[in-house]
Amino acid sequence: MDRFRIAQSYTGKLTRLIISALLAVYSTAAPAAQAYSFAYTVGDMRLPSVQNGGTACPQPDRWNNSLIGGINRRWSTSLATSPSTILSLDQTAAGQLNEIESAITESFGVWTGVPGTTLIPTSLAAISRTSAAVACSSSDGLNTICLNQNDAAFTTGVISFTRITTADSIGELAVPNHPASTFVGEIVDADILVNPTANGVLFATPAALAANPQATDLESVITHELGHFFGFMHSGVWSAMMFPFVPPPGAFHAPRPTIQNPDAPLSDDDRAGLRVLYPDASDTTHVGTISGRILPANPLSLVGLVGVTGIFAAQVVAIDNTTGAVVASAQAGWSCGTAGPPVFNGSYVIQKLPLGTSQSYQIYVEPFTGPEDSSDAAGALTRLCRNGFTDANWPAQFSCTVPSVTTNFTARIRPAN
Amino acid sequence: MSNRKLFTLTITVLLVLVVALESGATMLVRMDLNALARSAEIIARVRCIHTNTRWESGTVWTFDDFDVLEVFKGSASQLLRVRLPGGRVEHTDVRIEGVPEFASGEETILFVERTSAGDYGITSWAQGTFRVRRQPSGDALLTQDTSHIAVFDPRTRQFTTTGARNLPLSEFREQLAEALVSTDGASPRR
Repeated sequence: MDRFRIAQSYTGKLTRLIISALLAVYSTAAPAAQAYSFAYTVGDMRLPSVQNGGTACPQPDRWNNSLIGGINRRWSTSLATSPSTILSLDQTAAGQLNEIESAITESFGVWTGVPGTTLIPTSLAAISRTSAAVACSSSDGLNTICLNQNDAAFTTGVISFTRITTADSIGELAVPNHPASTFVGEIVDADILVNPTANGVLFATPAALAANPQATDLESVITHELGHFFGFMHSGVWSAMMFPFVPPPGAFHAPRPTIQNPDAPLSDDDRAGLRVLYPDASDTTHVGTISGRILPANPLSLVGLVGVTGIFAAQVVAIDNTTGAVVASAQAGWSCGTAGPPVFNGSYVIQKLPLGTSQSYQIYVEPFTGPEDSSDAAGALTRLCRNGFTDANWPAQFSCTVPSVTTNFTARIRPAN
Repeated sequence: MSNRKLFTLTITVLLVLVVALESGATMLVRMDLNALARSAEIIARVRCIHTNTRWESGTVWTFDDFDVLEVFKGSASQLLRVRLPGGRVEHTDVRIEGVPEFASGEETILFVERTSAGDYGITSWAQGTFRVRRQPSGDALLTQDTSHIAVFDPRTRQFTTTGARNLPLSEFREQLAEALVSTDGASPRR
C-alpha cells in the first residue's frame, strides 16, 4: 500500500474552505466510486486548426444551446398494446398519450429549471409527436424518444439506452436537420430507445404509479436518460439523478418537480455538473472553484509509468460542512495545456461551488479500484486520448495513451499553500 | 466456512438478484449467471483480433471479430463476429454507455445471442462481458463489465457494487458448469 499526499490550491473566492480528513484505506477488492462526469470528445488533429479548434484537449460533449429553440425534440406515439407496457391513469388512447407527454415535458423541465445555467426552457423547441414506429435514427438530426423499439442493438436484458451522436470537428454537417457543428464535442443527435416488451417491464406515468406499485416510474427513467441526453455520464452520488440505478417499482426519484421547483428531483451534484456544461456568465452565486493535484508522497512510486506525474485517477468530492450533503465532485488525474493533449499529473478542478460567507467544504478523495484497466474508472476516461493506434496518421505531438488507473493508495492531507 | 465457499457464496449473492438497473445510459435487467447462461446461444472465451465500424440502418455499428479460444456453450466457428451499437465513423461518433468496447488482443469471455438482424450480439451487453486479466503467475481473473457500477455514499462511508470482480477463471468454470446443468442440462465443452 503506497501513500499519497494532496496539494490544494484555491481559485475563486471561497472564504472558509476547510480541508479535513480524507478517506481511509481501501483494499483492491473495494469497488470503484464515481461522481458526476461527462463524456468527452477529442478533436481530429489531422484536420486544420479551424476545424479541430486547435487543441487535442478533450472537450465535454454538450449541445449548442445558443439558439432559441435550437434543440429539437419529439417522441414516438408507437406504444406496445398487447400487453400495454406504459400504464396511465386515463385509459383512453388520447389520455394515455397526454399523460406520457406530460411526463416527458416535466422531465425536460427538470433539467432546464436549474438556476445558473444557460440551458433554459427556450433552449428547447416545442415537443412534437411522430406516429412512426421506427423514429430513433442517429442520422436524422431529430432527437426522439421511442418507447416501443425492437432495434437490432437490443439483446436479452437490455431495456433502454440513450444514443448520443457527436462531431469531432467544427463545421461538420454530420446529420440533416442540424446545422454544421460549431465546436468539438457538439451533440448533433440524441435518441432514447426503450424496449420494455421483451423483458416484461412495466412503466407507469406519475399519475398511475400509486395504483401500480409493480411498475417503474416513467418520469424518473426519462429524467435520468435526459441527463445523458444533455451530456452527463453517471454519478456515484447516491442522491443524484445520474446515480446509475432506477428507483424500485412503485417508487420515484423524490421529490417530484413542481412549478416553484422544477429541478426538485436533482441533487446539487447534478446541478453543479449542469452549470459546468452550460455555464451562465451572469451567475454570481456559483463561482467557487477548488483545484489541486493528487501526488504521491513517494515520487518513485510513479517510476515506470510513462507520462504520469500524479495519481490517475481518483474521485474528489466536495461536501458542504453545514449540511453534510455532497455539493459537487470531479474526476482527478489529468489536465490540459492550451494545445493538449492531456497530461496525467493528478490534477483536479471542482467548479461551480456556491460562494458565501458561511460556506465551507470538506474534500474527500477516493481511489478508483478494480483491475488494472483504465476503462474501469469510468467510460469517460477511455476517451481522453487519441493516437496512432486509434486513428491512422494521428500526429505524434497530439498523441497520448490513457494510463492504467492507480488504485492502491491511502490519502492524507498536506495543508494548502 | 472455508474461504473458497465464502468466496463462492459472495459471488452467488452478487449474481443472484434479478432487478432493474442501469449501466451507462442503459437500463439493463440484472441477470444472474443462470439467466445469462440460459439466454446465450454461445458462451466462449475469445480474443479480439479486429474491429470495424460503419453506418447501417440509420446508425453506426461496431463489428468485433474474435478468435475463439474455448467454447463453454453452443457451437462456434473459429471466428466469431459480434455486432454492437455505436462507434466512430469519420467525424461522427455515436456513443452508448453500457456497450462494451474491445481492443485488439484483449481476452474476454462473452455470452452471445442472435440479434434481430440475424447476426450475433452480446447478451445484456456489459453484463455478458467478462474481461480476462492474466496474472504474472499465469492465472486468470475475470471481471464483469457491470462490476463498474459501484458507488461511495459519504453519509454511510460505505461502498456498494454489483457484478463479478477478480473472479478466478477456475471458479467461473465451476459456476458456469453448474449454471449450464441447472438451466438446460448441457455440459460445458472444453
